[in-house]
Amino acid sequence: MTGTDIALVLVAVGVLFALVRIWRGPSAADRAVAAELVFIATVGAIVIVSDRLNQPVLLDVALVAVLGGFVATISLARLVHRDDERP
Amino acid sequence: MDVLATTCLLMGAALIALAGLGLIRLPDPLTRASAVSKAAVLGVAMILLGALLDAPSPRVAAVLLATLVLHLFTVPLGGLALGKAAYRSGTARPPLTQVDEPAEARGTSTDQPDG
Repeated sequence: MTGTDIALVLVAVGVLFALVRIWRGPSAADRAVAAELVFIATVGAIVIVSDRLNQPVLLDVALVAVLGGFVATISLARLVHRDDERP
Repeated sequence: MDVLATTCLLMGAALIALAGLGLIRLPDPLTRASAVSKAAVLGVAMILLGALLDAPSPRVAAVLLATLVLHLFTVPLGGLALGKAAYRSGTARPPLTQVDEPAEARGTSTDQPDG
């Protein structure tokens, strides 16, 4: 078990915690914040896998994943604002 | 160099796991957004540094630098948007939050919305 394996397991633990928060989370804002952590952890996992497989091409995927995660987070923020709005 | 790269990867992954722990342990959406947008940003930055130290070449350095800059710009903005949305939706005000600066700026700090 090398260092990159342990790093991937640690990222998976972070995603697992975020999934528990999505499952339990009392409001939509909690779930959106946990989803943001899942996006960020995905970027980290892609970079670690690129390092482990020695494939620098995967770093381009991480670059696109950062932008996709940003757009998704902004969309989630608007969704949270509208869903929990009480008249 | 290899030991340094692996140490950076492990520290970054541990920071992401720590952000998840903060997501579980902290009491309300604002503090959880704070944990995610601080710890996870630094974690991904450490992972990018470790990947650069492991395979130093100009192409890898260019892509990793672009990823790092975009990440450092976008994730705090996303955390801010989520925090503002959580505040405006009214579900992010637990009893232990005592300071309400947006309401004080509006001059309506006395009425506490129930939510």
